[in-house]
Amino acid sequence: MNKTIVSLLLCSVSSLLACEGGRSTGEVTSQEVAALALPEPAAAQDDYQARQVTFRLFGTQGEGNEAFATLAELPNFETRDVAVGGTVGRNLRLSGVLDQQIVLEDTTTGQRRTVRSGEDFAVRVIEHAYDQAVKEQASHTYTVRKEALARLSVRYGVGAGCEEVSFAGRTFCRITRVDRSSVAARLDLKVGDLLLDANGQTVTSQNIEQALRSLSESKSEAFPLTLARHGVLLNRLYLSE
Amino acid sequence: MQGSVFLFALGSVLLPTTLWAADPEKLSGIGDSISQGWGANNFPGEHPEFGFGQGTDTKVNSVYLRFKAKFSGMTKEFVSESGAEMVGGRNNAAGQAARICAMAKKPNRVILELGGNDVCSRDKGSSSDATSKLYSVTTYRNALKSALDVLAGCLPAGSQVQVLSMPRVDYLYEAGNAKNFITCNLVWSIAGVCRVVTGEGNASRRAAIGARVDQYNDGLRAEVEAAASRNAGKINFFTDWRGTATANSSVGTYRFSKDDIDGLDCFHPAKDTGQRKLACAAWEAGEYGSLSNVPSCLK
Repeated sequence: MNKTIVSLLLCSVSSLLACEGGRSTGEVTSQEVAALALPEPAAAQDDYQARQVTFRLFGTQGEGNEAFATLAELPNFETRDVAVGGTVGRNLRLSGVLDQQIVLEDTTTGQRRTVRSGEDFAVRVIEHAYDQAVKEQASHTYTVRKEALARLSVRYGVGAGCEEVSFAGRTFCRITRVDRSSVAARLDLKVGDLLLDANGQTVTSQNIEQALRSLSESKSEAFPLTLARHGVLLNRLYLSE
Repeated sequence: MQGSVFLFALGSVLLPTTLWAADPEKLSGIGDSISQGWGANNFPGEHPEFGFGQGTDTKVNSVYLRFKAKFSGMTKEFVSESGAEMVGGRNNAAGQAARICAMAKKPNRVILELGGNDVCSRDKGSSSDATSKLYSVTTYRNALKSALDVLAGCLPAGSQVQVLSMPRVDYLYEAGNAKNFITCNLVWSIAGVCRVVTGEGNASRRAAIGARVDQYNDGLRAEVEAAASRNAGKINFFTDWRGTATANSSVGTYRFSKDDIDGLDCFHPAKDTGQRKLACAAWEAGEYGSLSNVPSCLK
């Protein structure tokens, strides 16, 4: 109790709304790092940042191992699907999906909360720098933190493979492999996507790794990438932050 | 009193023409590649000039052109995006609604057309349930409710919001097969077009996915009615969906023919047929049309 009061006092009045349980957003303690549900191997404490997020649970679907929840982050309503056992950030684990409700556990506090479909809830989310390396900011426009992406490239690799196919009179490279946690995964590429060109360079099965790696190495502030997903051509732009 | 309020709210859904509706000034649209006229002229890419809502092509005779014919000062500003879903991603219904609310001049007419990608962008279901990877109806409804609430919070009084039912993707699959079985199936396979149905060899499993679309549309109507009730007297929300009893009574019940879809990916409405029919159906289901004319639009 006293600890909570002291913690709350540490939060300035102006930032009280950004505090949960007396913990400020921003820095992450070593105790929290030690208790993360999904720690990044060999990461330093200051690689993590916390932020206050309000989610809306749109709903749940599936049963057993296939069950997953759909959360929308407010105020932009960007959604993420989280499977049972999966995480939101590095500290929140979806420990149960019931009938149109979920059980979410913060492994750094041990707190569990039940949320119903349609309900809004505020949580403190701890993320690693890699989680913020690429963020969609507007329609088909992403901001890139090149330093984090370069580190990620060293750690996990580009992690993509493709094969050439013809579609709509053009030659695309259809993605056949996207490795978990890789640069390709962070760039929001998926198996089945048809890559046309990256930064003006035609993507082939021979150069896909180099083409995507150049995004973190390029001195250019803007990196265009053209792809087709589910048959629809998309012009993406990755902008350096 | 409560009964009167209920009838008043119900009337606002069934009858889009309302006493409080302000004259149309600006039309906006929330939607996906269909709204963006993707491939409508058999060339890859977005061709919004052929979109049923915002198009400027006289043969499509879009909802915008029909408004403009009655109100010459009508303007448009659509936020629709290819690949957008009702539920998923950042360009979902609520996300697009928030972009409408960020406009300097707010529209007082909005048309919403989404849902196809909520099915087509999902993985194939389990062996026992073709719909196991699809969003639940509750999830779909909450996503739509969020969008309608966002719009209700920013649109001017007297605005009208039309929510179109989503097309049955299994009907689009059938139209593609009728158009050119070999070519269309080859394109679907290469480009990964709606594999949840185009890659599904079992007809009953495809029908189960179509039935889920019907459930989405039932949920859509329930949310539209609820939004109309919550905002009665300020903003009118209405939809074309009247259930599955009558064929071609709405976009969601329309069985697309081989001539309605493009020859590029065999899945998007073509400009002179599919898009034109959607424009006609949306207009007739709206404030200046008659629901009884929708079937003739979709003939």
